[in-house]
This record gives sequence, structure tokens and C-alpha cells, in this order.
Amino acid sequence: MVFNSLVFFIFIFTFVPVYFLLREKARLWWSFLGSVLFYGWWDWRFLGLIAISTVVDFWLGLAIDSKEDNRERKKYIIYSMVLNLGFLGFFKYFNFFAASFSTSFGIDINNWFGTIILPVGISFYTFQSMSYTIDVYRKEIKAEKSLLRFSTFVSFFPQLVAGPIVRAQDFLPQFQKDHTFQHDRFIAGLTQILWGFYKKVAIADSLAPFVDQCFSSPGTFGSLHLVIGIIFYSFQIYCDFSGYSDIAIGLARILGYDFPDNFRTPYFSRNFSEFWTRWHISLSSWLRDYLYIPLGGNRGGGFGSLFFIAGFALATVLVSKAYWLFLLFGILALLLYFYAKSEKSRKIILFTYLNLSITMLLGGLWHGANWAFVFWGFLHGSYLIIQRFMGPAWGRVLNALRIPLWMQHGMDITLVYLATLLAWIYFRAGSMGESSFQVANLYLKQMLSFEGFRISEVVGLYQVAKGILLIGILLFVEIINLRKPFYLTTLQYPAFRMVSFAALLLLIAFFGTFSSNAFIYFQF
Amino acid sequence: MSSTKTKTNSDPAHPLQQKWPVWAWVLGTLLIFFIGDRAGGYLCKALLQKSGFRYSRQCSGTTPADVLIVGNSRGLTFYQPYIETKTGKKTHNISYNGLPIQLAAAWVKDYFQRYPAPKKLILEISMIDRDNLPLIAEMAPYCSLSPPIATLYKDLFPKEHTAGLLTHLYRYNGEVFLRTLSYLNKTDKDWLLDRNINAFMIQNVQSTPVLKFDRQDLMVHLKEIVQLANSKGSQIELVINPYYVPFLNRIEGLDALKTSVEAGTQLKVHDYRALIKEESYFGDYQHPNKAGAEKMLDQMIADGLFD
Repeated sequence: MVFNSLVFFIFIFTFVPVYFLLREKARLWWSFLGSVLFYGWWDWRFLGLIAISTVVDFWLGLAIDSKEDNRERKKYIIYSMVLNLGFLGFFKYFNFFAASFSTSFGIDINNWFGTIILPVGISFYTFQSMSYTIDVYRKEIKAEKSLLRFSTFVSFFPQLVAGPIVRAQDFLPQFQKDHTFQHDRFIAGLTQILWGFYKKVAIADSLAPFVDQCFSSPGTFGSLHLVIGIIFYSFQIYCDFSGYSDIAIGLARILGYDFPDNFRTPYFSRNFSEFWTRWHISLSSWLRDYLYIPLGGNRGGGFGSLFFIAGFALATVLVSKAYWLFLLFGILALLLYFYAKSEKSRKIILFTYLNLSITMLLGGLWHGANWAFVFWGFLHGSYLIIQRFMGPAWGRVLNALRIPLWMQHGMDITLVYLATLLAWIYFRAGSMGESSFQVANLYLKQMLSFEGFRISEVVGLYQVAKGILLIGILLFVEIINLRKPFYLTTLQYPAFRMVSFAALLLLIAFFGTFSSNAFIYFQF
Repeated sequence: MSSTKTKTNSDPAHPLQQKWPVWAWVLGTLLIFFIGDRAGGYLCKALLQKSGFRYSRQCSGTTPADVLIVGNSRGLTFYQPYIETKTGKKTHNISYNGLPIQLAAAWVKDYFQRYPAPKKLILEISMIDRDNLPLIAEMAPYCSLSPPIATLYKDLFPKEHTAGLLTHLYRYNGEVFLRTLSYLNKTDKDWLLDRNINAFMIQNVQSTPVLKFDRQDLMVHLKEIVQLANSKGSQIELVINPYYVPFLNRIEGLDALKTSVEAGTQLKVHDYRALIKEESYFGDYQHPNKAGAEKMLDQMIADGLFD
């Protein structure tokens, strides 16, 4: 069931009134059953998968909590990791590794297992469930005693299939409260839902045909057409994903739950560290807390960092079959070893860079089983490293040139956005299967050829005009929103609320695409 | 939209909030939406009627023609200013990018309902390659102006038709309406894809996807057009416009289509597919540019297609 479908509207208009008529445990049961129906509507067979993950993690959470012996606790947390990452690895990455294995060794494992279907939302609920057992292991939270509450936590329908990934320590305590209907929550939630629908149905789905055409045959379009194509994609993916998050957060708010923000105007970021505190916040903070910091973060590293980076290097060599890379990586490793050997500070810097690279590479791989996603992660990892390396010098240069602060900010925002666009080319091509790298490289080459400074008349002029208008409205509201959140104004002034809600509905009616296009992040 | 973890959290009422009962502001919102929707719909319809876009001109009753031209984007190669200068005849071209034959049939029917029958109807048969429902859906703005289009739309998209009754603005939600806006103060009679095929396309012609003609089921709509034109006394010319010659071996089923069209309509198909050899006469594989269009039209005029 997707949010932008008729069946969801029937579901939600039935679910919400009954939800507020019920009390406490009955309401929790209703939430759980609604979530099961929501997920099962897509494919009921995968309910078994989420059920196993939920029950086992619930039991392991209790087991970890009941043990004082650290070795025992570690044993159970390893069980949890193996189960969750095993499911994720098998369903999400099996085809990818089978194809890579076949490329490297000529043995087709797919013949043994067949093609594996990716269960929708597995990356999201697996991470959510894993964060619970890890937090219990770290003694940051107590184990949940109620299976019903825990099951609802894992499967709660607003954010089940595309996030935000909500931490157990934030979400589970909210089940203890009895949520009654609240007028202010209803208004704030509805504001966010309508805005989310505008982003998804009016903007993202309107930009999609233009972007799809650009990527389906980049060689046939001129530079300007492709530049607009990738700018549109940057807004398509932002509006698609943040639109889903807005709807999810808004729905949860109406039902009485507070979810964390998942996006905060990411394209206004002045550096890449800031970008990752504004883009897919729930995932980037998850990776920070459960991967980057355990690897050593910016305070060093050890076996884990070396293990991961060696794994990526080995996979790169095997898949590319460029065995000379072994020599290159070997020499590079030796050089870095001798560079870092003499000084501890150098070692810390190097491990920080390694940890950043690993986190971003795995972040890329989280998005999908494709080397183009890994490369996208590699690019972002490189941006973070370059920023750490060059950032202070860049600041000094700008100051020495006496460039006004507002212009410096503008330049920083533009640079970050342009680098993000480059990475998006690979990310978008990542969903195109085996030819993704060729498509991305062709796109980049054709775009930078500076040939054809016109928009192809047959396909695009009208979509461009519409896209610019819709993005303009988005940026206008987001800039206003930076000063005073939109929902506060809708709460405060009923007349403004009525006019703005009606205006959003009119924009959706006039510009929306109503063909139940699935959200991009469902595939992740 | 920022999330409000703390500010709205579990407060019975926000301190800033002016209390209105839910029903009052929901009703108010719907009322504003309704008024805005109807006013917007009225404005859009007025703009649609004022537009110089081909279908708006047809619906306004201002385009009686000696020659009616029908095709997909390849039909737009019939460059009207050139034909009118060379032959002295009035033309009306209802070709459109990806125009499916069943939609073409509806527009031809609309034309014959509004105007005296044209002397000639020229149809480019490569349009019988797809049904293109999305484009038919895009024709919703014309439902209020053209009964044949309204019937086709209602038959194929009953839910969308109902949605268009609930919100009038929804009818104007699409690319076709945006196109009509760009022709508010001008006509699209002289539109043509005027560019030169690029080097990439020339180099990669043999690796481009194969273009297939395998929709013989759509012949029924062509027969409808032919029967209608015959019954009104219009002479019909069926043609295949030029393709970029190296692209011809990336096409499958065109000969079979030609044969079945000739058998089904008892009309000869004038085949110009390989008429133009020079690449400088093409905008891409399937579309001659302005120079190519003029070269093609010279040959057609010489062959008596416009007589």
C-alpha cells in the first residue's frame, strides 16, 4: 500500500477514527493490525520475514538484558546482528554478489537459488530493529517486556517501508502514553501531510518523466538538457523521499507520536558534514552512532577499519578484474603505513579518513546492490575527506580575498550542491542495473561536452517550465519555513490555515500525478 | 516542514492557537478550494479557447481547410507554411508527438462535425505503432469543447473523468494544456523540428533500439477514419514519410504494416521512407528537419498528393 493510492485513503479514513475511539491496549492492537494490513497489502508472504525478525530480536533483547556477563551479552548481540544482516544480505545483496561472483569467477550462483525478490522496506525495519538490540546491549535502554509494543515499534505503518528510521529509545517510551485526539497535533500533522503530498505528487512525479528520458538515452540530448535533467533529479529524489518522510511524520503526529526530522533543507548546506546532518538524517545518524563511532570515528581506528577497507579493495579488484590494482593498493597501503608510523596524530587522521570512507561506502551500499551506489558513497566519502583536508585553507583564501560573508556562504552552498549533483548522476544510474556505470559516464561526458545549449523541443520544454515553477514554490516555502515553521502559522491563524490548505490542494489537483507512482526509496 | 518534537507535543492546545472547531475550518478549507477550483477551471477554459494551439484552433471553428493532415510527430514534417505557399491550399494539421490512431480518429471525427469536408485527407501511417493512453489522458482539457474527445476519454478513463467533475482544475493538469498556454498569442502552424542530427546519433545508429510495428489490432481505427472520410467525399492519401536511411534496418514490421494497410483500406500507400539520403536533412532518425521537410514536400507535390 503506498500513500499516494486510493486504497491508502480508504485505509486511513477507516483507521484514524477507530484509532481514537479505542483505548490503550485495544488501540495498540489496532495499530499493530493496521500495520500488518498495510505491509501485507504489498506482499503478505514477506510478513513472515518481518515476524521472524521481530520475535527473535524481542527475545534476544530480553536475553541480553537479563545477562550481566559481558561474554553472554556479546553472544546474543552477535546472534541479532547475524540474523538481521543475514536477512538483509540475502534478500538485498544476494543477486548483486552472485552477479559479481559470476563476473569474477565465471560461476553463476543464481542458477542454484533463482532470482531473489527484495522485500519492500527491509533496509529500514532491519536497521530499526538492530538499533534496539544494540541499545539494549550498550545498556542505553531496558529491554521491552511487551511483544505487542515491540511488534508495533518495528512494523508501525507510517514509517515502516521508507523511514524515518526511529530509534527504540525515542519511540518505545511513546507507546506508554495513551494518545487521545488533539486539535493542535491534527493541524500540525495535516500541514505536514499536505506539504508531503505536494512534494511527492506534484513535484517529484512531475519531474520524473523528464529525468527518465534524460537517463534512458543521454547520448541523444544536448548539454543544457542534461544539466536540467540532473538538477531536476536532485529535486525529484529530495521531494520524493522527504515527501514520504513528511507524510509519515505528519501521520504519526496525528496519531500522537513524535518522529525526528529526516530532512532539513539539505541543498542549503555550506559543507558536506552539514549536508549529512540535513539529508536522510535518521540514516546518517544511525551510521554515525552504530558504524562510524564504533570504528573509531575521528579518534583513530583498528582492525575493524582495516578489515572493511581491505574488503572493499579486494571486491573492487575482483569485480573490475584489474589485478594491477592489487599492486597499487599495496603500494598505497605501505606508503600510508610509513607515513603514519612515526606520529600518532598522523595515524589518527588517516584512520579518521578511513572511517569516513567506510561509513559512506556502506551508506552507498545500503541504498542498493549496485557498484554505482557504492561509487556514490565513495564520492561522498571523498568530499568529506577533501573538506577536512582543504576546508581550513579554503576559508583562509576566501578571507584573504576579502569576499563578503554572504558571498562566501553562497559560494559554499553552490559548491556543495554542484558536487552533490555529480554524485546524483551515479546514484540515479544505479537503479539501471548492469549498465549503470556506462549510463552515468555517458551522461557526464555528454553533459560536459558543452554541445547543444537548448532543450529538446519534442520532449521537454513544457516539463521544464512546469518543473521550474514547482521547484520555485518549494524553495519559496522552504525559505519562509526557515524563519518560522509553516505549521506554527497554520496553528496560529485559522484563516491562513484554510487558505494555505486549499492552495496546496489546488496545486496538487492542477499539477499532481495520480498514477500511484511508488516512492523511490521503496526500492532501498 | 520542520518536525515539532517539543512544541506540539501533548499540549491540549497550542498557546498561539486561535480555537476554531475542526468542522468549521475543514468546511472553510473545502469552500475555498471549491471556489478556487471553479474560478481556476473557468480561467483555464477561457485560455484554452483563446490559444493558437492546433486543437484549440480546430475547436474554435476557425480552421476550415482544403487539406487535413494526420500523423504523429512525423506528421509534423508536413510544414504548413511551405505547403500553402507552394499549392495555394489551406491546410490544417492535427499531428502531434506520439499521437495514437484512436485519438487521431476522434479528432478527425470532431473536424468533420465542425467543418465542411476537406478535399484531401493525408495520413502518415507510421502512427499505427502504439496506443499511447497517457496522451489520450492528456486531452482532458478538450473534453468540454469536443464531444468525440469527451466520449473517448470517458470510455478509457472513467475514474479520471469523475475526478474531472469533482475538480475542474484537474482537467487541465497536463502537458497538452501547458502547450496551449505557450500558444496564447501565436499559432503553432509553423512548428517543425528544425535541427541537425548530432554526431552521437549518426555514430550509434546501429546500436539504437529496434523500432517495431506490430500493432495490427489498431488498424480498426484507421478504417474508421477512411470510412468517415469516404462517406464525406474527402480523398485520402496514405503515406510513409522519410526516415534517416541508415536507421531503416533498425525498423521491423513496416512492410507488413504497409501491406495490411493497403489490403485493409484498398488504398495505395505512398512510400517515401528512403527518399532522402543526406544526413543534413534530418533532425534525428525519424524526423526530417526543415530542409528535409521541404525536399519531401517538393516530391509529394510533384507526385500530385496535394492536387
